[in-house]
Amino acid sequence: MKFKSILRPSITPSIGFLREEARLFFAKRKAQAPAPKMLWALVTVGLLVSTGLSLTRGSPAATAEELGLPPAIVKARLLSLDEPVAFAKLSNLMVQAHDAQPGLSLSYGQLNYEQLIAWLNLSLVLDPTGQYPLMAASRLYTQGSADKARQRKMTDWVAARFEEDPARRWPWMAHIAYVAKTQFKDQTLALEYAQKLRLKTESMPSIPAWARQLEIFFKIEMKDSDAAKFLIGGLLQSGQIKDAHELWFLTHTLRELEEGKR
Amino acid sequence: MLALIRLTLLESWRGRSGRFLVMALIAVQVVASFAVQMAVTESLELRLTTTAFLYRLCLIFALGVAMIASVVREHESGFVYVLLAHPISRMHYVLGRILGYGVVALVAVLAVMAVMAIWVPMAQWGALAVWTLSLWLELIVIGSVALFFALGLRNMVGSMSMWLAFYVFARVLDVARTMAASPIGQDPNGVAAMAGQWTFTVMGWVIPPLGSYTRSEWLVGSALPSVESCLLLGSWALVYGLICVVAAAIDFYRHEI
Repeated sequence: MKFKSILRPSITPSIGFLREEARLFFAKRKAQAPAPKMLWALVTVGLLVSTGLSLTRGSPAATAEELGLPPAIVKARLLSLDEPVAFAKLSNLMVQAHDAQPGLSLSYGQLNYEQLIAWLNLSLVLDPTGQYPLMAASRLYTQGSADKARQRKMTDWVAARFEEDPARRWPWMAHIAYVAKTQFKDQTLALEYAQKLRLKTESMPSIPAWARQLEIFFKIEMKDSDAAKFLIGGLLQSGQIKDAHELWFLTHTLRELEEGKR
Repeated sequence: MLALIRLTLLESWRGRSGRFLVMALIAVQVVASFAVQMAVTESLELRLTTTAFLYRLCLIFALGVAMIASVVREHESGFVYVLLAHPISRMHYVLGRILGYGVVALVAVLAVMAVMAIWVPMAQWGALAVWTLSLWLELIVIGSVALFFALGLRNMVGSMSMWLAFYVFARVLDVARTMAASPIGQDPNGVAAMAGQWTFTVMGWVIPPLGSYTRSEWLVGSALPSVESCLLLGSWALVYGLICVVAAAIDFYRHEI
């Protein structure tokens, strides 16, 4: 009871105010001159005709639409009023959503990878520090629903873009080396990617050791112990390895290779 | 003049600008959240660049249109005659308008900064402050240009068209100059190409490159412009605003009342 009496002063004016507003709303409309009946008839006929036209047209059928080629860089800057990074980020979303069209879900095998690569390229040019295009290329567009030729196009594109900025793009290079090894089952290609990764990053201590030395571990797995020993020995000799744990690990691995334990 | 500034602020408040600002702040975040939901990576960068881009456009258009609409409405309703019947000069009228607009713009950009600060990492708050200041300077330029066209043309459609054309051109000026400097399919030393280059070069001397202001990539870790560039752009915006205000006053003095 006490609770209700506290609330009542605050609720009652609000309800009264709303009631008054509603009364004014309808009173205003009542006071105005009613519209001629002809106008009401016209509106009704128009709505009926519109419905009839819609029924005649039928329901739209879902058709796969091509992504198309992206605009030129200059055009993209003009369209975005010279905000290239915002354009790049939004175009990433648009490209990513392309496989889910109204009423359709396309598999990656149905997509035009040349056009996809053109869009991903544009995004990288407009936003060079962006990771989205490389993530999409190495993880999304190499999935099993795309055929081997398409997947290979994507990995080759990632490899080419990696060389432009290895310090930032090394994770994607490592990923496609992994994809080549486990998904493509192409050891030669995996070694090629891993070698490229090593050559571009071996003088960059900020890159994790496992990435810089991926090629060595691939060779060990392939039982190519001579090549693995050569690479490890070269690394240890070069003096590039400063971390004590990493030194110990590589020395230990080299010893095991020499003793034939790997 | 203080009274005119206060009048501009009251007009802005009674025109429900506060509510529109709040709605815009929320609507842009909703749009950005929708976009972020679709992203599989870089969601924070996507949110920051999208909201920065949209907030910039919203404030530019809302405040520019508000300036033109209020000045044209004053002329059409005759309220400007009431104001000028008081002992204030036309210069005071123009200054009062632009200073009042400057305060409204400052409130708007501070509100945007407060909302953006929720998402921007603390390490980037310096960049956010620079971005906010740049946005305010851009609004000052755009507001003074809107005032110039509104006072000169005293027509809603004409003023908005000219103001919009100015803004779009100022935004893409750097791109246009780049295109003119490297024409494709044309002899770069030909008459047409040279004429194009000179046209855009002269326009570049006259119009500030608004494309270099308030860039969304400043908020996602890209390098801020150097101190010299910031000072150059900042002083350019203030000088250009002054030029437009003085030009608007000169034009206003010419008109018969």
